[in-house]
Amino acid sequence: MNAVGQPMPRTDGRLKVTGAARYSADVPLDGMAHAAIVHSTIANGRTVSIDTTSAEEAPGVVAVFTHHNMPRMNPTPEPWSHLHPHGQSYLPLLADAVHYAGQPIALVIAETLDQATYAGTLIKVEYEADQPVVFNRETAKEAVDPPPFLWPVASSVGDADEGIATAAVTIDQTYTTSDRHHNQMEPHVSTAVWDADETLTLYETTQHIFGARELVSIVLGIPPEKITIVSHFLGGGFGGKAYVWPHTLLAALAAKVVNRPVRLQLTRAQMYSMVGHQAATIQQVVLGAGEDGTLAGIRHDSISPTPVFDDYIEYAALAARSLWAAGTGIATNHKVVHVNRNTPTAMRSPHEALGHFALESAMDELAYATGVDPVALRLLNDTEIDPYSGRPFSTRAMRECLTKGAERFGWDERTPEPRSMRDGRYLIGQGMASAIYTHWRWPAKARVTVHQDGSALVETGTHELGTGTYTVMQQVAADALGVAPEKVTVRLGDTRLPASHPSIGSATMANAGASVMLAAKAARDRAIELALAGRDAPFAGAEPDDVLVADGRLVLARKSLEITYAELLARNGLSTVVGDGDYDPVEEALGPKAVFSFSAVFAEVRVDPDLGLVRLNRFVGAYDAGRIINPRTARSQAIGGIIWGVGQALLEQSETDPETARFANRNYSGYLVPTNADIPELDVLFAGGFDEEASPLGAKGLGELTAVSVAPAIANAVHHATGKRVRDLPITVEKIL
Amino acid sequence: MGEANPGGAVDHAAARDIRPAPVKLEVNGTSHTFAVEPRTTLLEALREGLGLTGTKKGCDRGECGACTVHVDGRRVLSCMTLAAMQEGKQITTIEGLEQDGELHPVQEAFIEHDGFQCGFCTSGQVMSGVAVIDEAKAGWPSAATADVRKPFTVAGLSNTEIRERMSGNLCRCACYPNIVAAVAEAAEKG
Repeated sequence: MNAVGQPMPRTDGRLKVTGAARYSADVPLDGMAHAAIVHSTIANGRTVSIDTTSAEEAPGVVAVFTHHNMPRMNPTPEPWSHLHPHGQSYLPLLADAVHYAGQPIALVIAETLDQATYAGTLIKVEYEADQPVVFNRETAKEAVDPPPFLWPVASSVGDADEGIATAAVTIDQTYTTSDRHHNQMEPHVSTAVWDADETLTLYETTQHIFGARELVSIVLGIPPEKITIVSHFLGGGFGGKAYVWPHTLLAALAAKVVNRPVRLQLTRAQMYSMVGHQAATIQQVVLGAGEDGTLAGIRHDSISPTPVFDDYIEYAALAARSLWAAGTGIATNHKVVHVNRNTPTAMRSPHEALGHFALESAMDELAYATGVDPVALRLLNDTEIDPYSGRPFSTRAMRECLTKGAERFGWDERTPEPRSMRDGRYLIGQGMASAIYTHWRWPAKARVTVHQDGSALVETGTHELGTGTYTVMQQVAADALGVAPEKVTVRLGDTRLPASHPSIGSATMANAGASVMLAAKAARDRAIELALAGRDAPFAGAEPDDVLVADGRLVLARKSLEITYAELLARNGLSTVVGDGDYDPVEEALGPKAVFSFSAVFAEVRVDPDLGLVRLNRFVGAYDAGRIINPRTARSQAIGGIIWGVGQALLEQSETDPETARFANRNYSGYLVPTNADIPELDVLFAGGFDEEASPLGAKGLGELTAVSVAPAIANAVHHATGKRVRDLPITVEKIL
Repeated sequence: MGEANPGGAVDHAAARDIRPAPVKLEVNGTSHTFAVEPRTTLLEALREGLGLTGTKKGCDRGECGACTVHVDGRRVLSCMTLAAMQEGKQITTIEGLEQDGELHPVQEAFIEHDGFQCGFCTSGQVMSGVAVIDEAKAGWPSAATADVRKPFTVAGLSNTEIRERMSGNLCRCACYPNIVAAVAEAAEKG
């Protein structure tokens, strides 16, 4: 039986339920000192004086760093690249300038964390403060064109405005989303250890060990081969641990100076200003359509804030380029406003989850304006050709997602008029939305070793962030080798292993997974060679293609011959056979097909008509993520994504104080995330299947996709329940009453 | 914490008063005597003092539940609990649930129902799950209990009850439905 496709329980489950899984803050180190960051209370200006005298005299203090004595760093490299990604270009503790509230201005090293934190409170700072710039509808008027970052900033296919100008029905609305923070359960932590030979080991909270190694190498000016990055288990990433943030560099430099290991763990509050967030957006969507709902033109423009020193773009209008067909054209554009704020970063689901809220809310408005059912409207505007690139989609099970999802949800029983469905005194609303998600393709390497006892070892420098990487890589290698999954051990998260890509954008299964499959097949092929032409070859004279592998054996079926890996290795006097996997899909990404994941999702809400409280009653998600490698972990990713979207829809909002430009609610009691009591049963189904263009494994991205379009489905359901169209996230009570 | 305090007075007296003093902690059935500062939390003492890193620091202010342990059989947030006050009390951490290599039924159920993804909140979730079942057996009602005048029994531990009782433990990977299924199964089994 194949392991791939089976709902295998997690191979690291026992480690995780016993507390034995070792996260980056759990690594024991002799002689370790603890670091605490002191950060600025102003958002714009400079420090005039920093008095560290009392802090230096406090019990347990080893060293205090400010911009006066912090070792120098090289600038972050330009242009920005996934190969050496910095979270933000501005590196603190190098000058007196302050560009954002919460910017590190001092670093205390002490014997214990309590001592370091206490000493930090003794530091006296005088500032020269200027008025900070914040993001709002006024400052958005000063938005400028940024240089491109991940995709072209603007796009125009055909003539969108012509289609809109001549359309029978037009929707023209502005939608806004709030600043949000990842708030991974595990705080960012960096532990730096220098060995006597000037090699640096960093125990990091990272989704990209190799990118971290390259960036640290460039900024600290040490060769990459002298740096090891370790991340065996990550306590949630969601994009916020993909790039290197300044605290990692500070920890490394401080450890060098004090000549002992240093652990720098951010406080929950510090995570709001030092490690990225999702920037707010102001988006305008214009849809032009015929009376039957056929789209004639789409225009989608977005504005988002970025720091004074960086040009980070939330590509909110990206989805509009490829989601639906439009008769005459589609145009998109992005602008930014420079504000006193730390740099935003990718947050599940970057770009798409923001843009889909606007676009799929507008589609619902179009459905009501034309009287066409929302599901029918999407079926009508479905497309087999990517409107942006003109390439056909490799696979696009959108119709299946729409029809199967609607059937599972019972969409036919919905009465379309707002406020027409009730449960006692509660208003019931049902809404839906669709989604498209970019499929990323990156190179990855892996090595698979088969041992003489018939066991196998997978080694690859990818990551386990909760997505089940240890488990799914075991499944992939087991099938390619023809051994039982429990015979396969997986090693991840160390730059001494074969290099892999960042674990972001739902790319790991398709790309890192492909490298594991290739490595396992290479090891298998080496074993087949031995069986055909090695010492005392059992299959001498046969062709390689005649040999199958299963149950730890190589089998020549037509001659009823077989030999175990163990026996084959012993016979050849070998302790191992090794296979290397080198997956490089970069050329294919430019190929003739457009590869994306798709979904259709359905939400039912219950609204208290007196209090305006919105509760999610039930939710059905239908996803085309290609071939599903492990239905158990895939379902978990999907429910996690749905709940992530519930947070975006109803709860999550990082509030900015307009006077100080500080994030004001820097904790879990001020920044609300979904709790267990907020979440009903969730129903997940998978549509589509093997996509050979996406990956040799047939898999497309899933994790990010599932967090997209939850917000518009819920917003559309709220409109159906109440008759109120809320165009500003999150949907809180005052927007309904 | 951590913010610079312009012009703030230096409190050296406070600094002198935080000298470590010995405390005896009974953790997972073993007695440990070691020095802690009066301000040291139980969380910090477990992790840094005893090397029991299964208990996690998520927020350090009692909001996330990742640091949940049992003190004399009741769940507490170890980040909000001073170590020096726990002398003579029985402390159980995630490392102490397994008995003779056998997982606790709640641990088994979390694996079976995939009640975690990244696993960082899992120690706290499991410790809460164990306590939720004990609290139900002891007849404790919750905010979700319809009639608090009737004695509560473990049979009343509906999904709604479990959701309410497990809501002090945040999970950002958001495995909530699976966590509910795991606790429900463990409660049913015994």
